[in-house]
Amino acid sequence: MPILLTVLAGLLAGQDILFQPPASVKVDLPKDAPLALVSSEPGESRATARGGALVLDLHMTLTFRNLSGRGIRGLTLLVLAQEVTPGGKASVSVPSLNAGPNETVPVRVDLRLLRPLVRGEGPLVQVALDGVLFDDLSFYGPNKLNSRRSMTAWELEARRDREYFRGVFRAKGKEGLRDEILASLGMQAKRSSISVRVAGRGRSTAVEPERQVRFAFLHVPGAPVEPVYGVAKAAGNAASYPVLEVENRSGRDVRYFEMDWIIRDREGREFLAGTIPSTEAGQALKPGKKAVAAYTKSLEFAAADRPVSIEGMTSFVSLVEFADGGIWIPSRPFVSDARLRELSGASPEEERLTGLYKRKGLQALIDELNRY
Amino acid sequence: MAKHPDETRLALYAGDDLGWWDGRLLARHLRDCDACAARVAAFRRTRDDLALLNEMPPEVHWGGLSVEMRANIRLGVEAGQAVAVVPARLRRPGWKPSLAMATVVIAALVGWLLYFPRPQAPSQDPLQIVLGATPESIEMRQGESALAVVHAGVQDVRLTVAGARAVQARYVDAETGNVTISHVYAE
Repeated sequence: MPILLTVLAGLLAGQDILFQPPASVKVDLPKDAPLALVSSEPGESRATARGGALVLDLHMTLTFRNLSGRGIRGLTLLVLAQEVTPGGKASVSVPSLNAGPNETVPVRVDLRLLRPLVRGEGPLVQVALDGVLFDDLSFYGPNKLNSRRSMTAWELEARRDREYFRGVFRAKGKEGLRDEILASLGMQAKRSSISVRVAGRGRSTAVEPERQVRFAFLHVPGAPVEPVYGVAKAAGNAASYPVLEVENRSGRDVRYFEMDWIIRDREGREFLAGTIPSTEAGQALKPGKKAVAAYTKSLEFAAADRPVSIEGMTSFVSLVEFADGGIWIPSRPFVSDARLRELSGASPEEERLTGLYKRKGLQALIDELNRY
Repeated sequence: MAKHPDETRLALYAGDDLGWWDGRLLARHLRDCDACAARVAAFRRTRDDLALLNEMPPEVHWGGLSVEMRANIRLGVEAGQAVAVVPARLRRPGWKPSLAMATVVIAALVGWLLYFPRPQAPSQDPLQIVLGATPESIEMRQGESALAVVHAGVQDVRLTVAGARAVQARYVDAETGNVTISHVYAE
């Protein structure tokens, strides 16, 4: 309550209120958590009143210590200002970690959240642990945000891409690795950028008549599920209700899958629109059976502030989770396809490794690849 | 002290829905009456809170309902016209049916002019908060107002729509060198 009174008094006086730990931010870790909070630096985090809402500008650094006897590969934090209000809830994940026992992990939280101006008591922001992924792919945490699935997929991508770059180094030496990293940086710079608005259910504009667009599919070698049919409604730069039907071609039960969604405009340019998740029915998709991935909202696309007129749509399987918790991701040869790389971009680990090369040079990258 | 205005008038005033003259009279009263001014302020706070929570239940689709209602009205008009047709040989129509028919036609014409969907007429609720990803940041948008919720100051951020509930921002944090992936949830 005192922090709220301080905030209100300051806001009535027309001031931004700088965060004061620990009253402004509360970090909740379970008693048996494999992490301990070492420090919470609020930085320039501040609260500002805008209309009936409080805008929370977060620039925090939270530092945790690994209390477990295993290496930590990733963690996800739930950052909550207000559960109900859109923009009141966020998460921050840090994949591609290599934090051994007793080592520390800094996590930067750069977010802007909203909460009603005069509501509730206690801290302005609550941070909770959603999950920790260990180097043996075991997991700890409540997993409310399904972070186990995401972090396992990122870790598998990291292992795939580290192995790829190690292979390039073994086969072609330093210069070959440098060429590969420069090619990756060039590809990342060419990536098409697009603005997307999630515009609720159904159509959001009546600029052009609505029509049905059928999906084309990219074949992903080794994918446990295969799309068989897909359609969405399109009108001008808006697309809605994409529905994709897939068949389980593997011999294992599938719990969940995701399809990457690419749109093509009238000039033939392609953009990654987002991911379409399978509907989580709670029942596993049996081998040979079909299931549906659908997106219930309408999306509007713009590139360089101009609406993108949707001409065609393409999709491919990007993630599959089996009923036993195992995760499948596309192979490196598939994601190395030049067209796809310009759309989907690099994995988080590839971005980290190329960033390391930019900041510290080739030898630092080689040392990093040899670490684990 | 003058008699206090009732709750309905205070609520209408808070929502700028009271007539101009009534509004002026009530504004004068509010200048001298703290109790009523506090009630108006409470109504306005509630309205602002409702605007923040504006996401309508998914099963209520006002656009669809509106289209359906207009279609029903047109259907009713057409049905009325069909019923109004009387064989000429049975009875010579007087001026009253003609007037009624003219009224119906005018009403239909006005309705068509007012409600026919024209290109570029936005059908989206302007108060609805929508989540979006620009090349630089995740933003919340309500009407013409936008608020970036992941900072534009972060370099080389990659933004994608992640499923139906969230927008994802991914970047390499310059300070820690770690890949950081933020999700902002729409609901």
